[in-house]
Amino acid sequence: MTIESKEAAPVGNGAAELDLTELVARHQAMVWRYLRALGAEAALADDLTQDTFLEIMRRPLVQFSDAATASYLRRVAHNLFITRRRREARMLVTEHAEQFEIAWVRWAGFESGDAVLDALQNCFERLSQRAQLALRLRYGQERSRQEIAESLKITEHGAKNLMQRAKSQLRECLEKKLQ
Amino acid sequence: MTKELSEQILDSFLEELLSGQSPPNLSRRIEAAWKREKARRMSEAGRGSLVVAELVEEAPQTPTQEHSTPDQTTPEPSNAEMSAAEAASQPTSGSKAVDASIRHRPQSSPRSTGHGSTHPPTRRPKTEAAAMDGRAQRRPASRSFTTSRQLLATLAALAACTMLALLTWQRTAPRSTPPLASDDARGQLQPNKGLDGMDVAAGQPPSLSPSTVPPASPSASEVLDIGDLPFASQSPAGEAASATPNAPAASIASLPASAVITQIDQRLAEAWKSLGIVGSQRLPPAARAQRISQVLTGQPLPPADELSATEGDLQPIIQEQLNSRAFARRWADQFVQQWLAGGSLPLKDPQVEQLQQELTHHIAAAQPWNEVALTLFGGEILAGTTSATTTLLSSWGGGGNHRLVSRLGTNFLDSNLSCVRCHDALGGPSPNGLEKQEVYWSLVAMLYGLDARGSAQRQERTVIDRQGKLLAENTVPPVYYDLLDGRLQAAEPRLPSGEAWTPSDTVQVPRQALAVWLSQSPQLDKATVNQVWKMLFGRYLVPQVGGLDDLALAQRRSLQDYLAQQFRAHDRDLKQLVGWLVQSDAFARQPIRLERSQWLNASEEQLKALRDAQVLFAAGPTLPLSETPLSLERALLAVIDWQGKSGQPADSTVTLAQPVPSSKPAASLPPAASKLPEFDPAASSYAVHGERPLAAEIAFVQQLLQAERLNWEQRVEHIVALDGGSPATKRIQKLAADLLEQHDGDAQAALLDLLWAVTHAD
Repeated sequence: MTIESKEAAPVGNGAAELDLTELVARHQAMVWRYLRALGAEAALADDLTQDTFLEIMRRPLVQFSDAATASYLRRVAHNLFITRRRREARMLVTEHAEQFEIAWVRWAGFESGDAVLDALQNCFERLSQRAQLALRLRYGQERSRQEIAESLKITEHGAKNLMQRAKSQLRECLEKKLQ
Repeated sequence: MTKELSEQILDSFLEELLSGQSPPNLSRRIEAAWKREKARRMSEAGRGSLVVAELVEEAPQTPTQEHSTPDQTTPEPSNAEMSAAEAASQPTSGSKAVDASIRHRPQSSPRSTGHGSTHPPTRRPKTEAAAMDGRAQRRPASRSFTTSRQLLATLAALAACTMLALLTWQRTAPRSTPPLASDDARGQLQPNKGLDGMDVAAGQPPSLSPSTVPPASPSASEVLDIGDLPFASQSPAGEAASATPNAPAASIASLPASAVITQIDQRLAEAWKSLGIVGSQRLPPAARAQRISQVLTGQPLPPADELSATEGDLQPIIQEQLNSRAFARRWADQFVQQWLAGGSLPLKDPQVEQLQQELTHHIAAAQPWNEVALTLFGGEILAGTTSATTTLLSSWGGGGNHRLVSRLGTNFLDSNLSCVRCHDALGGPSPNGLEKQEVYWSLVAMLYGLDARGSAQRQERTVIDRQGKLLAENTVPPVYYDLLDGRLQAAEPRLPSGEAWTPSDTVQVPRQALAVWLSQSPQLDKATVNQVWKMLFGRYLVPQVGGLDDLALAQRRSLQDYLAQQFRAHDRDLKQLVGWLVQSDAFARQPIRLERSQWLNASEEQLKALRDAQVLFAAGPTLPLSETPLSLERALLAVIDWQGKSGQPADSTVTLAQPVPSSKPAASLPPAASKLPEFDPAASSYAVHGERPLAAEIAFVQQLLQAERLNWEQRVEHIVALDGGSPATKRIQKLAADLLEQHDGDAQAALLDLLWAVTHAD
């Protein structure tokens, strides 16, 4: 396949520090979000985001497209995450990494994820007040299902159904918006 | 799996939206960490130069260098300063009225304070370590430059210092191309090995869980080579083949059917003779004619035809059947089963039935068989319409298209590619030269942009083709994969031969290029020969996985090549190929059945001889084990069932499921046999072949067991992948675990039984 090469911007040597800064500015949010989606805690996501870019800096990276760079960064981040987690449990790296990448690209494409958040914000506002409250308690305050049920004065099973339906609505709304 | 991951991603975005934990601005932190690392490397490089200077001059006058810990080289911004800076530089993508939490969040990692090392400790390169160790013995430096000799020494030292620093910098930088390199390069990432040989491309070398990894050795940080693994061995054939894996077949003259059939018979006879194998008895003409009729049309021979078959010539009967609609229908059905069984589309789906009809017409009209590759892979994918291509993709596409690549390998490239997703073929590639990880992932890249989603059961399966769009937008990302040693490699979309594809008027996307290449490749001809052989004889002429079945392998490969060439010379007429094989001497042999007592009393040598005869087609076709197609799950259940019913086998050498016929009353059996449970006819209708695992099969299983990196589930995966079909499902894994339990933890016995089930499943 012939891929038109754009103006390659060498990164990582003294002459192109500015490009490096731009690389970080352009992609760090995406890398961080990707690591969080993988399951990294916020602090770990900070550390691994830094490590990801340090890895890139250790070798000159010729950028041909944002998409390629973003994909490569995600892969490096994923591998760093796997390395950290390998002490805890065994993971099938190849299968998981690749499928996760596919799932990620479906949601966020090759962007930082801001568009997803904006769309999600919009879709969230369309939910009922009760659904919004339930999700806010669950994701914003990490309350248990029982606590959410008590707050809403419903059963635990009802709380579970409410959140499942709400997420299903969010998913459908997002898929339409992000198409 | 993709649905779960999708859910996981949605959860993370929800959490960010509702908790206010948005991505922090780590620019300054990253920059500071990088500066510290650079400074540390430079300072270490500088210390290393002192050793070099000593070698240059006995009384060196080397300048000292200020040493400072990385923590002290760059003043760290305070958290408050960073917070303010970050807040000022936060991406503003719309105000969020829903949640009042600000998007900025102070960094919570202890590392974010900047104290201490901020990245995983890097092992010191050996040269630097040596330099560090030598420091204690180094004489103190002096700044005296009074003599010209000292001046010369100083200049030499400075030059050496510069050279060493450059050398260090060069060695820590990658030599090869980064992602999406030029067309000349293969997109291979040659990550930075570091001066100590440790690969840091994508983090650390693989550190597996303790249960699966041998104790760390001093060289544990070194890059692993598959050649270092206990079972790797290069096959001489593989090396030669890889040089020209896809040389176009030389054009040869088409021979008459009788000549081809004679060649089949002669070559097999020579193979039998070389191994001391004696063929079983030939079927009488009428029985032979009935067998041929069954395999050609699925129907018994009319009595009149049976009579004429008894009298001699089968040719007219065979020709008539080959030209019948029944033949076309039956064989279309067989091929569709071979290609699509186990996929996401049920075989009764209207799309599959439509494909069967198209294929029936294709066979009936004697169209060149290679055109099916164009039909299956190169057809149009339009919304709301179905085609052979959408049917194939609906069945196997999606989820990264790994099942599709496996099926492509087994059915059209005569190569089992399931195993090479994770590593090159252990015994080296076959003469096809395709069993390499690089080839596998190049195919994945060729199919990138194709997807299939939805539920086939609810008839909501949708095929998506974004290849054209991605190419037009120049947003085709490279496909990355992990090597065994943890390095990351990028794969470009390339044809199996290694060539890049080029667009043309008729070929606009990689999928179409692959279809065209397939239709002309010698691999397709060999795959067709092998598949037809298996449909007739019950096993492949040449196994697609090396190292498992090597009896007279060279002769079998030679026969396959010969048949493939003749098939091509005869314009790839499927009827011709089938006609040759059913008229061969091997197809006329009777299967060997053992009575129970015979089986019990047979010696190991006799049973081995019987097995060898079956493997080399000297004992007729392998009979189907079941009236209906035998899935792997059913085969495994039969094994477990038999193992459970037999309890402790009287003959301790029996390790495979061997349901025996109970045609004789127990009283007539030898005393030892009467202690065995009676055969339950409801459990199966198997024919006994007295099978024993081949030596190569035992060796294969032992290799798997010796591979300490693999756990039980992965060993099961390796064996299931021999079928070239779907990966082991949870159900299969559960049954394999049950089998292991029945064998009281004897993994070798359990894996051999699993191998038997995989081999005998349809």
